[in-house]
Amino acid sequence: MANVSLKGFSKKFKNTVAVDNLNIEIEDKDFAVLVGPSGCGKTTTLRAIAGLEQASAGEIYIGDTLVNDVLPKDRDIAMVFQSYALYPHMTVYDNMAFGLKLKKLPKQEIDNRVQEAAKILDIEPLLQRKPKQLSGGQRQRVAVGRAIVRKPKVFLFDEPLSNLDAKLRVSMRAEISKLHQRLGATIVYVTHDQIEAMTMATKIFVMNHGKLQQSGHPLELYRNPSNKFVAGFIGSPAMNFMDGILKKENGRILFQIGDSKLEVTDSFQDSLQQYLDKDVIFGVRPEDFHIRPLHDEETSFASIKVQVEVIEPLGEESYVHFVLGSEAMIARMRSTEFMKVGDEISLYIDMAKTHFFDKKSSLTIM
Amino acid sequence: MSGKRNVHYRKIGIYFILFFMAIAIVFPIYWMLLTTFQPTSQATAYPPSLFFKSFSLDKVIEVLLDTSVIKWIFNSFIVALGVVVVNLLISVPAAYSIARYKIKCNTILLFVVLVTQMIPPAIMVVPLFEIFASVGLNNNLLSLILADSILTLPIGTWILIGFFENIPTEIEEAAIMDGASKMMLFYRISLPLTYPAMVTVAILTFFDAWNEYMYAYTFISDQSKWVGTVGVASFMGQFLTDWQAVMASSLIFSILPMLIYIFLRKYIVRGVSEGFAK
Repeated sequence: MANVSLKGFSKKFKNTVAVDNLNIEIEDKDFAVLVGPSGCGKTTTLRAIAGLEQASAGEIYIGDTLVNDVLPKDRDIAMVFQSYALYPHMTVYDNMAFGLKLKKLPKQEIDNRVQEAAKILDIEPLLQRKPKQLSGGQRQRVAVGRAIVRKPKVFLFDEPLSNLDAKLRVSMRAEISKLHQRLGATIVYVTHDQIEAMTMATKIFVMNHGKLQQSGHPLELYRNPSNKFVAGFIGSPAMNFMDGILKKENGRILFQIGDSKLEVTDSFQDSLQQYLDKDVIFGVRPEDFHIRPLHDEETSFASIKVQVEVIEPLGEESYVHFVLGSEAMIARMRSTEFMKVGDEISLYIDMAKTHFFDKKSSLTIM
Repeated sequence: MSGKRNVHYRKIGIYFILFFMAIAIVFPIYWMLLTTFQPTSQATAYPPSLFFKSFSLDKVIEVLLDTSVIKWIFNSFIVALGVVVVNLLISVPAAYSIARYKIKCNTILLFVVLVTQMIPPAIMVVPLFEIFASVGLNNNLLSLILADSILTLPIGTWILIGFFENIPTEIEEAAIMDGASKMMLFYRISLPLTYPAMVTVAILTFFDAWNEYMYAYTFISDQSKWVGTVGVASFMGQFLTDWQAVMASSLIFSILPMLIYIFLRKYIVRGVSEGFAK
């Protein structure tokens, strides 16, 4: 297996910059997920690693080898495509064996590898079928199988679960994670689904407008987003944002939104000094709204009064929609039996877990 | 209620039109069968009868034994097969290149291909005759194969372009990752996926070449090298036409394309609908 690194990688299509000066380092055996909205450049980056796109600038390394001018087949990688891209005129067996035959491996070796991969993926009974005789999930397995048999240094996955239904997606997510553990492979996985990124990755690279926004462990990105985009993209439902102004009263900094004033915790008091009387963006995750303050000495809770607009019960928890100032907000609550639509309720914000962003740069104020 | 009634009337109208279209298409075939399989006295009687009065194979046997109709049909088969081969050999790689390798002049190229379809074939008779004569191909079936290929190549290429464009590029990219060369992408991946389209193009081309008359009449003068269309027409004289022989030879000449159509019609429908569905 191998590490993958991109140094100053850029890709232009005529006048459009798809990826701009991207620097990423994926360690050996990492499950790296490139995540971002449509058009952020994640698939272009993956295709460049695969060799299906030429870099306009920068260097791509697989292991210690500079692969910019190396043909895809010689990069020792395998790719699983979004549409699976199985060869429709070949059986499952031939689909998996095609690459090995081109490598001119001995017949017995090819058979061993295909049978082994089929066993891992539980597709042994399907080997003589054609792709059109398979379900979406089975096709996905065959596509993964085709990658496994090549025993590559690096696996590339291009949104492989996006064509599956929600239930199958959850089970395949777990299967791919298991596969990663079993093969001990380096995986570069592209998705626009942040839940996939959070649940599968050992390292996430968040991209937007062709640029890397932040990289790190999923929980690190969740807890300490470096800017408003990452804060809003990672987490579901997304973080609530509100524009407001920072004021100082009785020596304490307060965040003012409409008529509400929220006292900022000690940890933010110093860093927010320079933003006094300036507009900032305040961010709260849905789970940091509470019905009553938690009895924790280290947390301080600010209270707001809101009117319930919608309650979405999900079973164990519910999403409560309300408006604060002029912003639509969502709170994730455990018990909502006592409230109904139209009620005015008090909510407590866990201020220690909130985030402030510079309004101009959108960067997190640390 | 009135909406339902309108739908009902519209259906009746459609079936009415379809019925008359079917009559218009089927009646000549019926007339051909009627004239062929009646004794000559009844087939040439005036006024003609619309229905069989008695059945006879005499004229069919006479045409088969006393004329060169089998030879002409064989010539037609050779020409049609030749046109199919030439057409596929050129149109398949041409369509693949146009569909897969987007170059600036593609649009112009496709336009030119289409424009050639707008030129009436009659305009090309004299120039082609001159060319074939100058290279010693006059009175040679090869001249027909080449001339008919010129007529059928554009439509074959257009149908195949549609098919190649419908093959997801990801399939070829997967093959690239598997180590396939560009030639392999063509003949191991894309080509097998276009077999149905190739069958369609082959059938349509075969029919076109089988039915072609003008070039065949102009370029071939040797009676032993005539093709079916010219042979059938030869029964129509300036002063006397043996209509029963015309019909009997037409029937014999129609059997092969009819069989082809019956057994392979799904490919024709699929090819035409998928090739042009853009």
